[in-house]
Amino acid sequence: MNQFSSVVKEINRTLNEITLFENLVNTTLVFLVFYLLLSIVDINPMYSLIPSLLYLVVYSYMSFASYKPLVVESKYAPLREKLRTAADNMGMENPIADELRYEVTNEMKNVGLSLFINPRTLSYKIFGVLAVSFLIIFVTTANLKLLDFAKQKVPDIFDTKGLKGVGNFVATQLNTSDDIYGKEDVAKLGDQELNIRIKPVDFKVNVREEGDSQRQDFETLFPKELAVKETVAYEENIPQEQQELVKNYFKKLAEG
Amino acid sequence: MKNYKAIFDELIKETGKVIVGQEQVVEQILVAILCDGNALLEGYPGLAKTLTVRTLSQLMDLKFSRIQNTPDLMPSDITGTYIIEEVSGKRQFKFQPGPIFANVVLAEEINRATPKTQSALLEAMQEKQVTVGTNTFKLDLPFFVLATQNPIEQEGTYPLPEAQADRFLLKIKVGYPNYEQELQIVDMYAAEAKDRKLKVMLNKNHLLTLQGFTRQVPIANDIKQRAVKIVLATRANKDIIQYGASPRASIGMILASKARALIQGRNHVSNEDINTLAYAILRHRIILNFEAERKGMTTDDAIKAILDKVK
Repeated sequence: MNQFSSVVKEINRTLNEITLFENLVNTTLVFLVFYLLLSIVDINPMYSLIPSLLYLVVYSYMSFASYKPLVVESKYAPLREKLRTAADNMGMENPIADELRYEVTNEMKNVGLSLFINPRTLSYKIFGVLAVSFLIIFVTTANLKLLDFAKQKVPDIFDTKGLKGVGNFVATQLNTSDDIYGKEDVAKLGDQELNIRIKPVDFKVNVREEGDSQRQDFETLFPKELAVKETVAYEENIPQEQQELVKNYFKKLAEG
Repeated sequence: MKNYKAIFDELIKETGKVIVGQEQVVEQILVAILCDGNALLEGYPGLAKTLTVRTLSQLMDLKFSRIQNTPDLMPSDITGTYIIEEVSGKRQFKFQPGPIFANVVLAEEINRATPKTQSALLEAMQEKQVTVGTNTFKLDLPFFVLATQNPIEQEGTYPLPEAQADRFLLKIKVGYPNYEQELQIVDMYAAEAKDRKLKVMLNKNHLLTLQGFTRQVPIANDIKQRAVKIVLATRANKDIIQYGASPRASIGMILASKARALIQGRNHVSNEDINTLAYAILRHRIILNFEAERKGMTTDDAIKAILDKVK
């Protein structure tokens, strides 16, 4: 029985490995196909990870959950109904079950790995992976975009006509003249008109010409507007001789 | 397993010396015997039902007795009764065993016996013992009852109630032989009478051992589940079946399939065993509804529909 249980374990392990390999090849193919499609339609191609991971999880679960003796039986007819019976009755101890296990163990020697791998299908898949990979390289190198969905949605951002830029940087509307006042309402902060002068932008920065940074000392100036003013307590000027009278008056009022 | 197959092949071959064709019937009777069950044989008169059972009991060296059921047959005619016997001038009661005290009991035309007599027989079948008065007598093992029924001449008969029919493991249909077989039968029995000597193939002990082996045949979980689903489907299929089979049918289905596997020399139960035996297991356990009968369906048609449905 121990020999048979090790046979069943080996079947499970081998089929799981084959399944995993097949699933990885399939997942790679799914990833590359989605990558290519997303590149063409100008959507972040890393989104192709989502369907490929989904495929890997779902198919791996289905493959690993499948009953392996049935898979072997479907590929090798002489073991039909025998292998699953022996596997289901592994704990059964009687001459008939022992004979069945012995028969199945011997028969398993004729089951080759080649039964579970279809070389033609696998070759097609690997060829597919290579072909799609080359296509991706071509598409990204040529910056080929058949459909540009992003442009249709927000055309203003991508409207780069008449704009200057360096390398891949797309410059927004820049005014290189000294006068940058423009509209008055833009330059207003509250009711006060700002007097700002911005140096025209130069994108070419030469580090050597700039030299070392200079040390600057900062003075702490407390704004005048925020100076503390001494508060004055309220005092009523009541003559000395009338103070006793006023005191008695309030005292009587309090007594009611 | 090959040895068992050789034994059963030889047994069926030996039966063929007397019975022409009917291999399916012989196989199913053997299934019932290996399962320690009882079988109901249904067929028109003259189809060698009695001869088949008698031949099998000879081949297995079993004590055979035959009961011809009639409406005036009393239970004591089957079970036996106490008779007064005089021993050395002293009279005393002595139990005189009836024909039930055998290994193979052939109850001919069981539907002609009164319900009271049928009950006595069926009780013996179930309990493997007979109670007469206050005494209980154990029946010799192995013990099988093979009852026959004619599907014609139903007037004045007492059809077996479903509850009692359920106690039979199988209902075996005995069909007509084909032209070649019938020609062979004519040649065999219309020519000069020959003494056909049958070789004893098994004995009681062998049979009891084989009954033990039958239960040891392993069955795959999915095949077992399918057998149970088939029985459950007879209860769920209300559009054609009024009353479905009991859990006894599930037990019978598995056990009978194991026995067939043993006869076929297999060390495991196959779906083919289930498909072959489902008819014999279920046909006396289901009652078709009016709609199905109106359409001219038979129980076998209903079973076929279920087998096609439950894959």
